[in-house]
Amino acid sequence: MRLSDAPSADTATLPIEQAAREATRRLAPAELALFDDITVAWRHGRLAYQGRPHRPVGGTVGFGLDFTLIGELAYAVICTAVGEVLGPLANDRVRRRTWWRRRARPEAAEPSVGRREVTLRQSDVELLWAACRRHGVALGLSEGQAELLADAVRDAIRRPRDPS
Amino acid sequence: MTAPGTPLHETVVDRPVGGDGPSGLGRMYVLLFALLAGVGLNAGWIAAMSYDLVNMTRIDTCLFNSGLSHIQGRWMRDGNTLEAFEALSPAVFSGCMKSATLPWTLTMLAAAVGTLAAAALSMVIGGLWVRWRLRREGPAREEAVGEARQRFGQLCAEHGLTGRPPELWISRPGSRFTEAFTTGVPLRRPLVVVPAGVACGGAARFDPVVHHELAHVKARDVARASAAWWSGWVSVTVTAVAIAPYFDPKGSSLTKPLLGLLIAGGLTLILIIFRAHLLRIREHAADRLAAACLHRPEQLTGLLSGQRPAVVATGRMPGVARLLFACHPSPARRVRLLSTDATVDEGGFLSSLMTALLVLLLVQPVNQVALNSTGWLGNTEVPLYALAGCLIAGLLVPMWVHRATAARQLGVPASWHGPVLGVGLGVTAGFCLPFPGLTVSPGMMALATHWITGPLIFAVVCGMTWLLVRLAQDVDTAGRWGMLLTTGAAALVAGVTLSNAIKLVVNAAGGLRPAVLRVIPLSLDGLSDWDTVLIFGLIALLAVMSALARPRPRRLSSEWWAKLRHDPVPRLMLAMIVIAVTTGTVVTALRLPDDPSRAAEVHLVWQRIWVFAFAGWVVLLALLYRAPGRRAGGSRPPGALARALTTAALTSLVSAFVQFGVEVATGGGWRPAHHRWLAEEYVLTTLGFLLILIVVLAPLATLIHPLLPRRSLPASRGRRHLIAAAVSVSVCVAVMLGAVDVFTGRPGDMNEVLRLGPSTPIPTESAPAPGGNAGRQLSQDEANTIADAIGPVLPGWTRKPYEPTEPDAPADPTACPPTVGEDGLDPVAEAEVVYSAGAAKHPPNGADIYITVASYPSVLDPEEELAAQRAGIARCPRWSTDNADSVDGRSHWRLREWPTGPFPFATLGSRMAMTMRTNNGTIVTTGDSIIAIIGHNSIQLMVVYGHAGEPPETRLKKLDDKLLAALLTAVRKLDET
Repeated sequence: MRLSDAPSADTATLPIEQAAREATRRLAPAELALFDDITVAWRHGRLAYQGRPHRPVGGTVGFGLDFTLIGELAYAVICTAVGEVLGPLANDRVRRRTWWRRRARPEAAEPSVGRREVTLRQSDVELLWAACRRHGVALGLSEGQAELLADAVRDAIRRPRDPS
Repeated sequence: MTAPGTPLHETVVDRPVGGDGPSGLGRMYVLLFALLAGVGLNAGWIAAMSYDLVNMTRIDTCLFNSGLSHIQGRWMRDGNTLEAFEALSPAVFSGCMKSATLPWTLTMLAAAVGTLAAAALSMVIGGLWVRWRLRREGPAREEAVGEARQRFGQLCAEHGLTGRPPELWISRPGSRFTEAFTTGVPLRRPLVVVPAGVACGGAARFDPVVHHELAHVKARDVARASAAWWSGWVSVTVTAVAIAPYFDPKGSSLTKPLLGLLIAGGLTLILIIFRAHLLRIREHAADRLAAACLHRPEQLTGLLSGQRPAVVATGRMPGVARLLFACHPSPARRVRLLSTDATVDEGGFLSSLMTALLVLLLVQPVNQVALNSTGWLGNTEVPLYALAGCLIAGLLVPMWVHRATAARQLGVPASWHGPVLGVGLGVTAGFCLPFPGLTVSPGMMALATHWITGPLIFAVVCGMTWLLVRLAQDVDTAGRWGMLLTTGAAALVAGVTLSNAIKLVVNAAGGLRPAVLRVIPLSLDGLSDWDTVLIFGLIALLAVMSALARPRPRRLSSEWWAKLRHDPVPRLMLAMIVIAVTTGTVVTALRLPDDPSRAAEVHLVWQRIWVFAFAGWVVLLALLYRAPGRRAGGSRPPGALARALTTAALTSLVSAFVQFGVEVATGGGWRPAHHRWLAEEYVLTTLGFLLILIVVLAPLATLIHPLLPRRSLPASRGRRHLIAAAVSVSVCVAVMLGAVDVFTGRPGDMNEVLRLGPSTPIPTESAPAPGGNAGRQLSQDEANTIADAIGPVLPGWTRKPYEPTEPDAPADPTACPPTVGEDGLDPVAEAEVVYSAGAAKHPPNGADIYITVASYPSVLDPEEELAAQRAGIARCPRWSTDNADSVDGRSHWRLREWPTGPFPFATLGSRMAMTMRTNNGTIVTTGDSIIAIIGHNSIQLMVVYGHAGEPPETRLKKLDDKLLAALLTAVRKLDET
């Protein structure tokens, strides 16, 4: 399986919005009505995990707890896991560096222009699944919910031609 | 827990929630905003100095002229003297401060009002800003949260918020408001803001959160809480603005106003801590109300425990910082309080500390502002601390009553440590800190004189608070009269105790060292009218409380004789009265003939008064010991302490009356002088001593009693009574023989006290007409005798050797200054004397009186002599001379005639003033002189007085009176010689 930034017939894509929607549908179907708003906020970088200040202003004393939508959590988990797993993987494989050359001669392996495809092995997909599960638990989901979310992400990868 | 469909708000209100429900926080809000005003007041004081709003040079000059500056230094260096004691009176100080009090007062008041206004404005602007941000972000889609909006309406109805229901705002995804909160702006409906994560989380998440927020709305403290939140930042800002000029490297240093800065910082810190404490209590109260409204309260604890996804606790602080400064309690603590139903009291340490400190700090400037319009009366003449005590008790006792009631409902005793320590520390700190607007305080001076004054006042106030807390535990909250009477009685107890305790400390600092406790009789002798009113009001209130707590009067009257026979209280009272009176009479009879001085007699009266107070104290302890429920702090029947106090007071008073009757009978009947003794010594002082004993010893006895090992009591009740009587008699005899003299003073101490009293005023006499003998020529011895005779009319002035001045240059009739008293004849006899007064008597540098008695061989013509001098005065109204010490190198002189008399002999008065400019201001040296011509003789007197700036006429008049008294004495002696 190859992962590419240019969708084509023989490459798989990871539509993050699709994965997050699927995760929300499985975990909190009541929030689907708000999912488009969540997506808009994610695109504009307004979600809490994107560094947006999320405390009430002075003069108000709140309930003392921050409440987040499952859809927001899904975006946080997926983006964090993708950044954690696929980022270094893509970097290494696009540059075609072996692991013992990564630190020794970084300037010697300039990436070839036009090589933007990464071949995913099954083990890499499992790494992504595990990262999604781990981050989901870390952000407050139960283990079962985190696995549901991770499954949604894996399913999104395996269905590259899903028109949705 | 309520059944579905039941209006929830009714059950919520009636449910006891530990006495600290949201409605009970009103007094704490008042305290907080009063502290905020205090911070503003203090900042105004600092700003008045840092921004040069007050003419400090004028104040310094006045203090210098009053002699306060160097006398204060001597006071600290050499110990207290009578002159220093008089000079340090508040009247002198306030006289200098009066010129600056108006701008200073206005600045302080403006700062206080401005600080409160800034907090209110911040609250309004903050609320409007939140609404603006919410509108800008937009709400969540209605189709997604419609169900939540309907549920919100139902919950509002359950809370009874239907008349003016709050608005609901569900923030959209990606909003910065991810925490549920309520915001309020005056004249607008409260706005409950709920994040979309709550609205879509189902009832398990939505209901607890909304119930919590609606509890805040129902408490009607949303706007107050917002202002309270802002008060912390406003206080920091105001203080920073006030002290900002001190950080100018070119300006003044920070060391001079260091105390003021420390106080400002301390007040701000206390405010921030108290504000956080108040807001945390508010959250706990809302949690309890929300849990009471929920069908499944565990939903709230589950939510707080983080068992739901997508819930994160906000505001992570280190443990200690969270404990002090966090405005929101941690979820773990909220869960713990909800699960254990532990009470969060409103009258604990912090509230008590705040109240006491605030009252002490604020009652002083308010009093000062009030007195500025009518003139200063002095601290000792104003019931300032009595008023402060009444206020402290009036504010705190209702809190303690609610606290004790809540503890009683929970079945646990209300702890006394927090209130006692809080009030003790607050009063001590408030007394020792300088008044807002001044840099000194009586407490600071007392502490500087002797360290024990601080612990002493702390101990007395702690004892007083213990008594008040116990009194609050006795109240039956079912009746309003009980609360009202208890608060009144507690206010009177606090007023009398605090006033006398502080009077004791102030007098101790200025009276007898080092045995500060020896002035207790002095401090209580001559109680003011305010003390009289307070003490009698206290006894009357206690009696009313006792009567209300007893059975109905009709039932009492029908069984009074049986009760009297079987009630041990009258027998106890009678026994103690007999012991006290007998001991006092017998020991006085034995001791008085050995030392019949007046001081010893009065001293024995005081010892008898201590015995009366001791008798009352024993009765009080016995009654408290016998009262049912004494071991359980909250379960004592109401009125037990009031009954015991009334009985104790009656025992002491009856003892005093009987003793006084015995004295009157054995002393030959009633005399008018007995009025004062009966009213002041035997009644007021006895009750005052009783109160001191109760306040100091009753808490100690109650605390120590459980620690003592249990021993088997004598089996026979008669033997027990016999042992108790023997112990009481022994204590009374020991007191009468001087066992407490080490604390309360000996006859020698009283003599010293009497010596400190005001001196006898100098009688004024009319001017005698000189006889025919007065104009004859004097010998040198006669002239010396006349000059010496002036000394007794100048008490406190010391005679100094006369230092003759250098011979003047040949007189120039046209030059200035004009020659005075030179007629070309040499006197056959001449006596010159100089008397000097110290700076303490005539500040700033003292004064000198020069006296010259001269006798000439021929009779002097008054018209001719005085006319020449009048011409010289008219010729030289102003002139200047060289002076290297002056900034401009010149001394500037003024001369004018000074009207004296009329006298039956020829006189001429003149006033010469020399002005010299220095770097620190202008120094004016004034010389008032008077010349009298009688036959062959002339008497010249001149008083010289230096002053910073123009001396006030009142100062000069005092010196001129001395001058005239000396002249009249000299003339009288001239006639007698």
